[in-house]
Amino acid sequence: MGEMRKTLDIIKVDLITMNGGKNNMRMIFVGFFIFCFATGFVFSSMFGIIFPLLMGAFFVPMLFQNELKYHSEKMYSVIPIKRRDLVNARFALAVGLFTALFLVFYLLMLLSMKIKLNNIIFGEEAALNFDRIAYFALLSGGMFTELGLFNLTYSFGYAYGLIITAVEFRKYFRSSEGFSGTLTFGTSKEVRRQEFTAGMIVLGVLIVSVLAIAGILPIIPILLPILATLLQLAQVADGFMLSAVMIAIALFTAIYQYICTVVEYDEKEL
Amino acid sequence: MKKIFKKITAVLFAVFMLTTAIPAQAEELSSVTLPSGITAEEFKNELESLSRKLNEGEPAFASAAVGVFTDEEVIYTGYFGKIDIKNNISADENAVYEWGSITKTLVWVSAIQLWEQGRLDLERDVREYLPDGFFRHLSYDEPITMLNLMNHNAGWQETARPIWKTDENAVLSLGEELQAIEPAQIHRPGEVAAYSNYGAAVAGYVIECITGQDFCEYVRENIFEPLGMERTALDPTHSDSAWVYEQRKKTKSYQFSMENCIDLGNRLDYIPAYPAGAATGTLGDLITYAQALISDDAPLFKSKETQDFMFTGTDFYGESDIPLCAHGFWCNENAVRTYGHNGATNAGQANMMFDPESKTGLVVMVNEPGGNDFLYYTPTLAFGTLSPEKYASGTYQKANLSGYFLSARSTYRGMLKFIPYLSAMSANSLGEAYDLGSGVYMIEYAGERMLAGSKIYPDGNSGVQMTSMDMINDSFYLIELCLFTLYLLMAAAAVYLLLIRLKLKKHNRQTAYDGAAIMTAGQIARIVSVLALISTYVVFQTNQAGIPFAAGAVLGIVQMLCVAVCAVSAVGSVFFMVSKKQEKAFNIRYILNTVGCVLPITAIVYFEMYVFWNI
Repeated sequence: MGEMRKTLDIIKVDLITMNGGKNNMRMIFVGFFIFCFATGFVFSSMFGIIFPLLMGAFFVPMLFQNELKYHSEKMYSVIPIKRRDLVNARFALAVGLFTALFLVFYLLMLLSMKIKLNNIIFGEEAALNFDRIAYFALLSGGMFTELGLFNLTYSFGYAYGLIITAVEFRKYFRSSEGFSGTLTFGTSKEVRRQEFTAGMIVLGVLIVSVLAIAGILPIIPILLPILATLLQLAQVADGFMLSAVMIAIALFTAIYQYICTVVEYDEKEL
Repeated sequence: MKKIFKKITAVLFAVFMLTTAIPAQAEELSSVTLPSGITAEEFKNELESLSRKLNEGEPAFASAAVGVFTDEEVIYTGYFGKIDIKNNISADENAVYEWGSITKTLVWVSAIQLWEQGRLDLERDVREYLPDGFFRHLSYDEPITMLNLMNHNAGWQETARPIWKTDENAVLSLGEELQAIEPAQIHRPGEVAAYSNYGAAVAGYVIECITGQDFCEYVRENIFEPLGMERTALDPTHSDSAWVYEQRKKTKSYQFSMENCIDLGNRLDYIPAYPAGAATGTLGDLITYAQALISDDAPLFKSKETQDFMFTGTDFYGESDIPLCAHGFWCNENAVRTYGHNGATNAGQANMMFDPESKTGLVVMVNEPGGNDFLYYTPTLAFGTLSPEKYASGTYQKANLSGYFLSARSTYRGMLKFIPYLSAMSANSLGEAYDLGSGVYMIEYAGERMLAGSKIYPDGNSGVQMTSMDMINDSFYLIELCLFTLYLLMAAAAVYLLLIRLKLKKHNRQTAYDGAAIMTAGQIARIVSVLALISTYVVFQTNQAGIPFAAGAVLGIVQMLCVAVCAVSAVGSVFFMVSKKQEKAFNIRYILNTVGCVLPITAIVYFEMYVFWNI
């Protein structure tokens, strides 16, 4: 119970910090919400997908912009809380707020898809030019329903947004200075190791691509069962099953990032 | 004596047809009306217009040979495009194309010839004609008759062994090959229709056993020679016709994908089970063969009645009298009822259709395995579209089709069992279905209309009869798909768990607990199992749609080991949870690991991923 109390207190402090002072990111965020909401209602509910996609990238910077500006993170090194509690509270805040905002937006766009304001404004035929959900559902010849495509699009948006939020979250705790936007090529052993790993990954992708193009690696037979499974999952139950898979993978990634954050932040010198 | 007389008559008939064919081409095409209602002139203009359209900019097709004919004359032949684009070789009357499954009609004609001679009983168990113990994987004692083979309902699943060979020297004799690729029998004979190359090849072998001749030899003596078909080969290596053997090397195969033309080379693949689809020849020869099948002279039979009998229905849509299959020939309902067969190989596609009433036929051959517009467009152009009013008494309404359907032509036993579940179709994606009464549906899909039938199987399950195979309603599809998905997700979760473990180890944060090692082993087994499954599919795709026995055995054993490791991991977790007092958090780990191992075991066992024998 005490743990829960502590978590809630930290969340409260974070919300106060976030709301205190001028937060440009928040203004951009609100403006963006309104823009996506309007285009999503007037043109196509598909346009709303931009919101969760970009929200993932902007969400953590927006939450902690004031802290970065005023260096209030130093406060946590003097008050009696465990680092783990801080990570727990902030992870809960970031993921919880992201999920809540996403759900609100999802429901709004679902309403937009149901009432089809675009058909009233532009006429059914003209609206098909930009209402891609209706267009693709029609094109699929009964394979996908409109609701199925909508669910798939938005669950992809949520999964992507959640993964990016979790990755940004870890990045922030690892190095809030680096996070504030100054790209520096570090000389420390850790940074060099990371750069080496990234280089190896890029090289690996290049080698696999060359082998696939040359026909040495049977990339299509490898991808086929995976793609066929995804296609089947996408078709059934209005896209619910593939949505569940995407969200499950996103949650696995988020949990992994969370554990990494806890471990790394515990060892970090503040 | 009678036989010699018969042969002379047939040769004279063939000569007559060949000599009349050329002047007929020159006749006024506008005076000939096709069953679709358009004239032959309009048909020709449409094809030329299609050719021009497809040749705008970069050509969008390789080649097509099209022929329209009656029993007495060739109305029109058209050769479009090139059989070798690089060397600029145009399609012409010397171009040879692969018949694909049209070859099966040679088996059915041969069978009816033997039936006419009283040497083959269509309703007798074919095992009585075959060597003792020929089949080794049968699951049912019920007889398999020639009619079952013709209707493709002998109960065999799609063979999981490669049926194509790329090495000419690897071609076995027909009998040996059939024993090597024998698939599992998964349905009682007569219950479920599932197009079977194996079944058709068995029928060819029955002909061999009855006549004591190679099937190839039998066909040459009793079909090709009487009709004067000198430019067609049937042997899998084309060694029965030197001319075809040489000419075939000139035809290349192409695939058009996203405006790109991919040169597939000669695609000289060999099918040792050759009665299923090895015939190769010119358009002219295929026209000659098709003309013989609609001729009142019935040159391939002793009497016209036998030929008429061949075109009587042997399988019907629902409870109606509309035939779906007539002794191995597929029946299609266009503006008129047509009979025939289409075919596809690794090198090309072909189609043969004819209307025995108006005695008009169509043959199309292309050198693209994916087909092209000439193949798809011409049947409607020649024979028109289905008119539901012909079958529906009064008004008809939307059929109440729901659920998910699995193609009966697939692998339901063994390590490829997962494949049909990855290509299931919802009732919506079958197309718009209308109930025409008597268990007959009209299905509209992408502007095309076709008939289908409703079917109730002895186990109470329902299905839809489509041309060449049933689509079986699977009431448990969502559960099965869930199981398969969870199997994949458990492997994904295992990857993350191992990553977390590595991270904790690196930071010296790992806490020791009982059973950690067996939990890790379980996670690795889950990942290995999914990799083995993907490998199974890769082997299947890269080995001419089949799993060689050795590769199957290795992958099957890997899956067995994964089951064993997962089982030990699950049992171990339960043991540590029950026998040792642990913190609540540890118990959750044990429970999750048990679930994470039991789900893959269930999936591996249910989808038979370890079964590499009798498939």
